[in-house]
Amino acid sequence: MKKERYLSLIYLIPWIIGIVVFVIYPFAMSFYYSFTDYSMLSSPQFIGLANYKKMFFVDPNFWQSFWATVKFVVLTVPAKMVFALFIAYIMNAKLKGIGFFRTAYYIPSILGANVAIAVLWQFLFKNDGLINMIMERVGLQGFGWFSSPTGAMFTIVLLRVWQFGSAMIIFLNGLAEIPSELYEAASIDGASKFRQFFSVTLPMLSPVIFFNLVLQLVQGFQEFEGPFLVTGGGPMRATYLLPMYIYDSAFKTFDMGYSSALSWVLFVLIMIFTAILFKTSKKWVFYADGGNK
Amino acid sequence: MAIIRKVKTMKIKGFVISVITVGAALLSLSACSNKKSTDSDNGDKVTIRMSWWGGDSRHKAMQAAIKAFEKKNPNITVKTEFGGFDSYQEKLTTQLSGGTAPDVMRIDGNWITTYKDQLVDMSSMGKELGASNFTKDKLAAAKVDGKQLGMPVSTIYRQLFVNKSALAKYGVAEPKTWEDLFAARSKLPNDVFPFYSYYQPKSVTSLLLLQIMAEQTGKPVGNADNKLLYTKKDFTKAVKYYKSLVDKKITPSKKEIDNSGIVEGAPFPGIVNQKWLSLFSWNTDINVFATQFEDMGATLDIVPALTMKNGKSTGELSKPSAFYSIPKSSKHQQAAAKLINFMLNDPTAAKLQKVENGVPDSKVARNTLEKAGLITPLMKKSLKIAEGTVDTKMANVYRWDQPTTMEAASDAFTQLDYGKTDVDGAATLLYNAFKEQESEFK
Repeated sequence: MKKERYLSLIYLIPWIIGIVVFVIYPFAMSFYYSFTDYSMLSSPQFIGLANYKKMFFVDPNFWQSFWATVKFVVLTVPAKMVFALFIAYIMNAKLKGIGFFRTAYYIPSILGANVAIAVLWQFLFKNDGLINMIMERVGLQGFGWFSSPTGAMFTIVLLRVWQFGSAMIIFLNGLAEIPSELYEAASIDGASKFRQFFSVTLPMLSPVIFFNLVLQLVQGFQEFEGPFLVTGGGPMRATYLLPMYIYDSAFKTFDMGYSSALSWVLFVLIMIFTAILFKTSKKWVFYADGGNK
Repeated sequence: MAIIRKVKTMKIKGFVISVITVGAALLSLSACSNKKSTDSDNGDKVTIRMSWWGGDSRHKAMQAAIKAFEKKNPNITVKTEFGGFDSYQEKLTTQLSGGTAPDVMRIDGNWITTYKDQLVDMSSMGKELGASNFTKDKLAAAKVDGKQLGMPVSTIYRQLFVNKSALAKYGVAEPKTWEDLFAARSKLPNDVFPFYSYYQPKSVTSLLLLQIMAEQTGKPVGNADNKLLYTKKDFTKAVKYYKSLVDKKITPSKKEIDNSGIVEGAPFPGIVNQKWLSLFSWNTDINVFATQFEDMGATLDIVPALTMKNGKSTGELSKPSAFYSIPKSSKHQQAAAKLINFMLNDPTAAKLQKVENGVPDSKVARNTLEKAGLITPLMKKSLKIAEGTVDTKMANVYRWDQPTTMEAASDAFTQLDYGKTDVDGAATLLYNAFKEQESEFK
């Protein structure tokens, strides 16, 4: 048995090397660098908590990025979840040609955020863009989307919500797993479609919702491309999310120590939100087998 | 069971032996390659790496020149690493940090002070590099603390490109002074601007600030030891001037730029719609803008940098476009120097690269291009203007265009344009950032 254990360990060596070199080592080093003044071009100098002190008590850009990130997550995640579930519910219908629509709705997620999407978003939201043209046609006044902090945040939230494909696919799988007998029983009991959705679909889907929620939450906190390409973090840093600040600190000003400290704060932030979700999940997530069994 | 155990034990032993054998083989291979590398400069075959940034046409031209170099030097193979400007510096800094930077690196003029501790001092390699083909002042641009840390590729100039057709449409003469721009305002519709200073979409350039300050004060930003020469008062005066450009609608405000639909990597709507009548930019952008102007049926012209009433400088600022440098980690410094010399000075290389890297600083390369008629008429005009009016006192201004000062300029002008700060607040922000940069130079 002992030798078998050694053998399995040997087989695991490539994976262990991978995780140590590419995950644990960088993870530990970034924690160490967060206590240093490190420009990448000279040896790191240990400065204790100076980076964290600067972040919390001196640097106004940090708090602006912090709140912008929280605002982005709070706005994006629920909107994307509701929208993805709504579309998945429709896409779950057994209709002819539904496969085409499932693919079509997934396309925005494949596109990601690139220069073409940035051009499209500018075309939609610039001063003389399509949205303002429509607004003016219906008698409303055009709006400076990219020069208003709220407007700019709305544009990047919308970009992420529009890319709901992956969340939709997960919901679709979850919906397909719900036994049809439950709906039949509910129908016999006289439950309307509306009632069936809230009393059958949502409870049965709650583990999938929970999974999707955690996934979207983590992705939301790591949002980079949208603000980087569409708003450039502006106006006046209103959409300057933490990942963008981390990137700029690391690769524009080459302050790797400060960038590492920012990364750790973002990590802790994600951990706190995820922990809250896990803690509350006991109250709203239902497993058909009772869970944990 | 015993047999199975024996087989397993043998397997483990076999595995361990294999690992040791493969490891030993790899070690001996690397020893071989190390041996080769130490012998490289004595005529043995070597492989070196070269990196640069640019567009497709530059990549093709550089690759053709490198092929010609390999043909001439069959003992040297050159591996190339190239791409766009975006993220080039990130990659290079990471490579320098890890000691894996290419043997010949193209670096931006601004970066030489940042990388000064990582670069080879080329002072003693003058012959190998063909340094006699360069004037003293061109070489001086790549000198830091008395060390020759790079070889200059070309010099670029900040110039004003005007939309000749649109100016004629509105009955506006080509501007010569800032005052001409103010005078043109009354002839233009509200949404047409006489001037736009291009540097980076989404951010207001610190170069416009430096331009105004050069003309107002007649002083460069710092002296030879990078000591800041501008006072808080100088910054206040410059910010006030910038504000008047925005208030009088001479240039679009940051707010207007944000809403104009501008995207990095795409033609600017202001240019395409012919609503920005002149562009203040580096003359390396001539071809890009000339093509865009042609596409919209307009004619581009170049005029000297705008001067100011009672100004103390011509305002014609220059900057080395790039340097070729060798990192200290290079094991093939002689081969790298040979490649740099070829790329900068060899007539064949010059003809192959044309003006893809700007008009070369190397005298022999420039003569070759001029004789072969490879410098476009527009570029010739640009150079004639620039070289006739360049303010040499301002030769080091570009060194202050660093992330700290750029960010401060962007923040200061954005806050000012959005009404979140006043002239004094913006000037204080700028002054503090330039003081911070001064300490970073040390």
